[in-house]
Amino acid sequence: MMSGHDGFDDDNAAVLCCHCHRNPATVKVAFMSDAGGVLNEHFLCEPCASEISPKLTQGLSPEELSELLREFFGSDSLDDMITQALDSSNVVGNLEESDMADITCPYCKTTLRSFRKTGRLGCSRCYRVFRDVCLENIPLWPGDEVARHVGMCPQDGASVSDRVLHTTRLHALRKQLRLAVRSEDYLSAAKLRDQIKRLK
Amino acid sequence: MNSSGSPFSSLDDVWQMASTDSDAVLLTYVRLSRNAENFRFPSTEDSATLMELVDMARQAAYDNGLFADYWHDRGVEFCLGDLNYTERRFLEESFQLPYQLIVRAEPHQVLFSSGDGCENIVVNGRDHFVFTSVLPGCQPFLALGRALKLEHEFSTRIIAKYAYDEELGYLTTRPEDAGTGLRIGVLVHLPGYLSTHRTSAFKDIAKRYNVTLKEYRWPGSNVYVIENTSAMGKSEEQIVMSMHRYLELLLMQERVGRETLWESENALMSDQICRSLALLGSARLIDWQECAMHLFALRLGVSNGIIKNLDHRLLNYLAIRVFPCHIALEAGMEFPHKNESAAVRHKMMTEIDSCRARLCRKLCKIWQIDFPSSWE
Repeated sequence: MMSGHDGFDDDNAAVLCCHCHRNPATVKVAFMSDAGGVLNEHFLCEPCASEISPKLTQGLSPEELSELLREFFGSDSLDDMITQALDSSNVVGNLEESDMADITCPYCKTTLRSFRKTGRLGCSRCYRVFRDVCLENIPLWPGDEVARHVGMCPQDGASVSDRVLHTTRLHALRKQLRLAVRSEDYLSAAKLRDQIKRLK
Repeated sequence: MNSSGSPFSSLDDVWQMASTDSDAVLLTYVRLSRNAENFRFPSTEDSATLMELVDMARQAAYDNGLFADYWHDRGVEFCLGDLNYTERRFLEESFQLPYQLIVRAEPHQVLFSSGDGCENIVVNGRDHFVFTSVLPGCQPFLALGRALKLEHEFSTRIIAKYAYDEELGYLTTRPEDAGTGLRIGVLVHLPGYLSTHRTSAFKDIAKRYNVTLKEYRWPGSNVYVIENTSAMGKSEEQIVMSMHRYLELLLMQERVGRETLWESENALMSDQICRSLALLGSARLIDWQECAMHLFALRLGVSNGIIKNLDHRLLNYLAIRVFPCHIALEAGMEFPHKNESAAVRHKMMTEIDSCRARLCRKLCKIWQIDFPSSWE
């Protein structure tokens, strides 16, 4: 395994740091995986690079290095590192069109070309790999600038469905009440009003 | 499988459900898409792994009590790979399932359905789990509530976790569905709206409510489908509320249009209704487009009070019942696959058209519709 610390080509100047996701990356850190001999590259900004750089030159054992990578990049597995590198460095959004077509999700092997053709992603990790293209495909509401989920989450459980069903019942009763008042059926209207009060 | 016998014997009861705006709105459907974490989406995952998901879903349905407790022992399972083309098309016609799912059915594609067909779970369709709720008339909030409830009941019984991202919500095969994973649609009959010549204005308004308005599969019958375009950026209730607000505007326009149409084209409209009734009552062969068109002309007659002894709910139900595979299944026939030769297809379709015409003649005899005496 080796670690590198070098400058950047002009083509990649706009890539964002894959650790903080905020600053433009100016440093490339490359690791050679022992198992597959695959070169993994990460793009970092100056502050993040200066944070990890002293640690990498301390002569760590493979276990310690693995732990350090897990902490810094979120995971040390090859697939996750590749996915994360592609994802967080916003590679998809910054490469030339011809290069983008060859970008492949390391988990499901879906290519950007096939996604563009079919409009379908192969797995949930594709959302990270093809992030920018995915965001382009998500229709936004008038006035919204970024796609952001505001609906229910898995932890919400029954509360949302119960609330919706409750509102539905209330809505139906209110409609019946309006009809009863319109037809001057005040006895039914009074009963409906009481039901609505109880439900509230 | 038979539309009039088990397992959908209670389908008829569902269509008797009272609902608002059934003079224009045929049905409401809701789909909620979910995918399991750590599995590839169905289009890229191998069949053996997808079968694991089917086993998990079966465990939730049978062992963990979805069928027994939630559907009161009335749930039905269909393995789409075991059904023939006609039966799969029947399911598509009944539950508004995506057509692609029906054309390429695999052994790992399974449908769990409540006995009345209102609630369904499609396993390994476009996404791993799609929860659907289909209700007659205009019931968007009830349909949403039922779909959400079904999703909750299922998720508490299955060991798989859903693929979910804090920022992007539920992750789905198509990014357009990501977020809430919600697709809500209503089928609306809009002859009046078309007569007002404000279609382009309403298509522009649709963009503001993030819905689309497009013609449904019955050409010439003036049936449209309204569906949300975005599942992200608003909560499930807000998405449904937005669609409902647009629908209310459209229905207001539709009713104005119907009144205007009736006043300005009285003779033409009444002629159209009578012709439709006569055709339905005497045709020997009738294809489903034509049949739907005449049934919708009758709807107009019911809406305007000319036809007294018919109900919108029945006509809404019939619009579904005259679909080719409903007719084919009821008559014990096969619906021709597109790979069949033209001559075979023609012969089979003629038989189906003949059965449909027989059904229509029978119904017209039962209805015994009386027109206003002033028409004599």
